[in-house]
Amino acid sequence: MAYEEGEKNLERAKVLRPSEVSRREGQFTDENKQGEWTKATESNRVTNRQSATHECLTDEQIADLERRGLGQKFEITGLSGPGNGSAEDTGTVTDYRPQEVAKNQSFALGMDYEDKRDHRSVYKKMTEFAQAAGKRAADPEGWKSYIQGELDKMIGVGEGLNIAKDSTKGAVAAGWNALTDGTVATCLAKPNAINDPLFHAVGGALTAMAEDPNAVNQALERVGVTILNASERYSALPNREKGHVIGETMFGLANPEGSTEGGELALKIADGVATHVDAAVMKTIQQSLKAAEEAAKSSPEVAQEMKQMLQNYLRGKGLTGPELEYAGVPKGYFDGLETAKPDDHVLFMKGDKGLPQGVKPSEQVLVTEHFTSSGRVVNDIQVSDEVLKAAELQGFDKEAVTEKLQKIADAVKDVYAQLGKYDAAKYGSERAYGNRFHEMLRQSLNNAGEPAISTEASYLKGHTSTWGKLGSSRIDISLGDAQEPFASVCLKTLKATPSPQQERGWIRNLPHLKDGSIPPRMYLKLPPEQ
Amino acid sequence: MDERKQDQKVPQVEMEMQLPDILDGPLELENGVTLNEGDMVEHAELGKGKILRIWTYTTLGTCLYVDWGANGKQEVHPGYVRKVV
Repeated sequence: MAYEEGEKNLERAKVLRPSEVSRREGQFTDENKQGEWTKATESNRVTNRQSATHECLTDEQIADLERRGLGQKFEITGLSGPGNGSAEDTGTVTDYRPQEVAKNQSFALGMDYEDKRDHRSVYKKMTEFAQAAGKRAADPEGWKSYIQGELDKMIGVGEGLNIAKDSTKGAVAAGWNALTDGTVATCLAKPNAINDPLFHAVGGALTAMAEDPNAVNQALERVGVTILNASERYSALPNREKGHVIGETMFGLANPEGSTEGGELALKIADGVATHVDAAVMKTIQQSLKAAEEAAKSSPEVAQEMKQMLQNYLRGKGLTGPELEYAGVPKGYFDGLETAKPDDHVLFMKGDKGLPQGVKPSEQVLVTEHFTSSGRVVNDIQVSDEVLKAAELQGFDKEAVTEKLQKIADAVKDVYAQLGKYDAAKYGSERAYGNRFHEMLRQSLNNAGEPAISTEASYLKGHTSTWGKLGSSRIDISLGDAQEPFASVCLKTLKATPSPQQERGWIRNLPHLKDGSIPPRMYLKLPPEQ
Repeated sequence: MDERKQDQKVPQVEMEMQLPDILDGPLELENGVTLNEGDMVEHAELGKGKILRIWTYTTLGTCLYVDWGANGKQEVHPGYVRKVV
């Protein structure tokens, strides 16, 4: 129905409507047009009011409007546009009180449409509609807030990225004071790619400081280098990934809070982890929203991107709708955005265990340690039923499976001992560290000469294949007979999850078990993901 | 044997092992002896070995990762070794 569509358009066009109204006020203060309006509404007039808008208002209400500079008449829009019918022909326009959706930010239209014919007089309809229009238009501050709120929703990253980047640069200088004023402690409240190396640097520094005051300068230098590296790494990232870093890290660097004596720093670190995360998240949200005000001026596209990044960041925090609103995110703020896919999270997915969705906790191979009576450390390996079942199908018993997994666990530990912890200053990117870990593990296992453990095995249509052959699938480690493995092991030093194409490749290329099923794939978590 | 149906799924299993946190500094035992990477230690069963790493597990506490030569690389509790001077 034409009129109904017109009213719905009014609802959808909340952002534009006030500006149109304000432009048209001037038109109605024109004497000629006032005359036209007076003449057109003369037959419906029951008072001497010169304005239909004023006709149904009390003297006090009109005085209030005039005092606020709103005494002029307003155009009623949306009733007579092309293709629209009139209220008389199509139904009832009902006025409601304008509702404040978000505090000082958003106002719902005080109007609704009821799809039925009514028998009100033209005068009555005009009166009711005028009241509705009058109430809405009489609150310009509300509209201004509403429009600003809508603009705020289009906030982006462009300038926000630069702000964060500059903040990072500033943090290099700030880093020199960080150890004593608590900045680092706050930053460390959110362990992540940049904070992790900082944590280690500061942790070592604290120990050194306790023993030797002369070590302080050296420790500070180490912190400075770490921040510089982090900053350079950040600068080289694509915008999308920068956004992740902003959400995860930059706030912590740019927004120091709290200040205590240097001696309390270690306590603050521990305390911060437990108590400051929520505050940091809240402020990240607020900072993002504020940055958007600036970014929206230069690029709506970038603004949208920032919005997307903020959504991804918040999703990672597991915040619920009410929590988001409490943090200042307007309701419906993320409407229309894409749902982030796991592959989008190239960096530092919080809470990610490196497993695709759908893996149940029971499907787990667990390696734990305990001391023997002579003080030796031995591993306890709990093998999942899924793996055991597959091994038995291929002729391996539980003992053999445990032995193979023990060898892998030993090799992993030995490589870790050789490589050490991930250190950005030493290894550069985490990817480089991961690649090196992979290669050393491969060599270690190959050198061990264990026949039932094959590294970097390639398969094509159910048979072993040469590495790199077109269409083949390569797996990190295969367990069992290389021709017919009972399981594959996927090393998870990086966050990337298998693509659907990889998944199809494995199904197509890996030799299936004797019952036709596909060998299970074990995901072995390695540093720096722990 | 194997009918390759594209609707098949690869069973996915998580293999989880905790890697210890490597300690940078020397370790001082209750008896006042200090152990560091590179130090030689002796164990009743494993013989003499060289400390490669000192690290700590959240579940076990501090351990020594030692190269015992013919007995391979193994971890031991620091209280069960004697420092070889």
